[in-house]
Amino acid sequence: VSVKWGKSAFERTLVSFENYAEQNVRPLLRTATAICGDRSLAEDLVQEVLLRVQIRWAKIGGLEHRDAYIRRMLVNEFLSSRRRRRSRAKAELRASEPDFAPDHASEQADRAAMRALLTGLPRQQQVVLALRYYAGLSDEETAEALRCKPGTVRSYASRALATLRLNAGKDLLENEGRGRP
Amino acid sequence: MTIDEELQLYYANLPDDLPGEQRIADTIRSHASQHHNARRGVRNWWVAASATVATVAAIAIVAVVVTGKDRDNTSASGRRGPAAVPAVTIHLDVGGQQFALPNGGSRNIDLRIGHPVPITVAFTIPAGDTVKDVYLVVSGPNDVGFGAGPTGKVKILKHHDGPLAPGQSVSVTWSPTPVFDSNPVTLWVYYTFGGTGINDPIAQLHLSS
Repeated sequence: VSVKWGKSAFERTLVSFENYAEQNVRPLLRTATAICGDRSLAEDLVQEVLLRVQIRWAKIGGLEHRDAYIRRMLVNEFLSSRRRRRSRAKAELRASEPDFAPDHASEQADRAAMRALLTGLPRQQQVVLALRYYAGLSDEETAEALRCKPGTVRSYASRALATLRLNAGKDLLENEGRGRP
Repeated sequence: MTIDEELQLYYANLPDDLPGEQRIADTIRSHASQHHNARRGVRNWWVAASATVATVAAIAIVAVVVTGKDRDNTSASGRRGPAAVPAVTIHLDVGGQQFALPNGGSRNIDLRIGHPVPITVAFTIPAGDTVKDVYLVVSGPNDVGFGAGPTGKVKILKHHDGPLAPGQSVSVTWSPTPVFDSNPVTLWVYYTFGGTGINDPIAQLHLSS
């Protein structure tokens, strides 16, 4: 019993996790922000994932593909939590619209528009685009994170891009319509 | 600009300032402390549980050893303590109503006052043992005693002096009436078995006119 629950072994595990969390909280947070498009939600996702990782660090810490495993946890957390957080996330999204300087108004407006388009996509498609365009993952790596086949990933990406093109065109037309005297 | 380029630009310009980073770090640190204490609690629980199990096991082993020695002594000397009284089944027949009373026990029986009723008591005992000095007694609820025989506010219906032969029963015909103004009436059997006097209330007789 004393060997299994040995203090020294546990403290070694704890210190190792703290090092990992310290070094990876920022990239995890950025990845989560890229996936969900909302800082507050991203913070919640990363925190929940890290707490789960901490509990199981004795196992996860020794995995060969530890980062991929934790990334998959993050994706799962986003996919499973998105439904129950949808209403809150939308409210926070509106509230967290950044104040931007007048000279960056156009740029910020474009970003806000793109974020709105992305958050309107199905959640798997959001994940695929974030992992492809932000994290630079291959379709195979993205498939591993989503627990699906690479062909499914390509399908998600294709549909997402088609939707974005379509909606971006609509937005352009709407903006042009509003701009007319 | 194509949609691919727009996406690359969007993701490349994610904000660098992530105010939640410190909050997450603080939460993780706090949770780590709680988690550590919880694990320490679990570890302490295991230690306590192990010690308890070891203590109980030691007590059980000692008890088994001591009991085994005591049992050996009893067997060698043929001594029989109070807990070693063998099972005796009393067979009661009251006016045709028959009851088997293993290790004592009592039954409720309705009787009519003044109508004589035959009462029979027999015993099933281990082979080689003997029942002797049998009393059939009725009493009220109070002031009843048993010494060398029934004493106090009792009415002896029958006394069989000496050993009871195997299969022999003790019978009496009683005309029910309240005993010392008590109703219901308790029917007792008192007998000597294995050198010990045993008194069992075997029935509550509810008398009606």
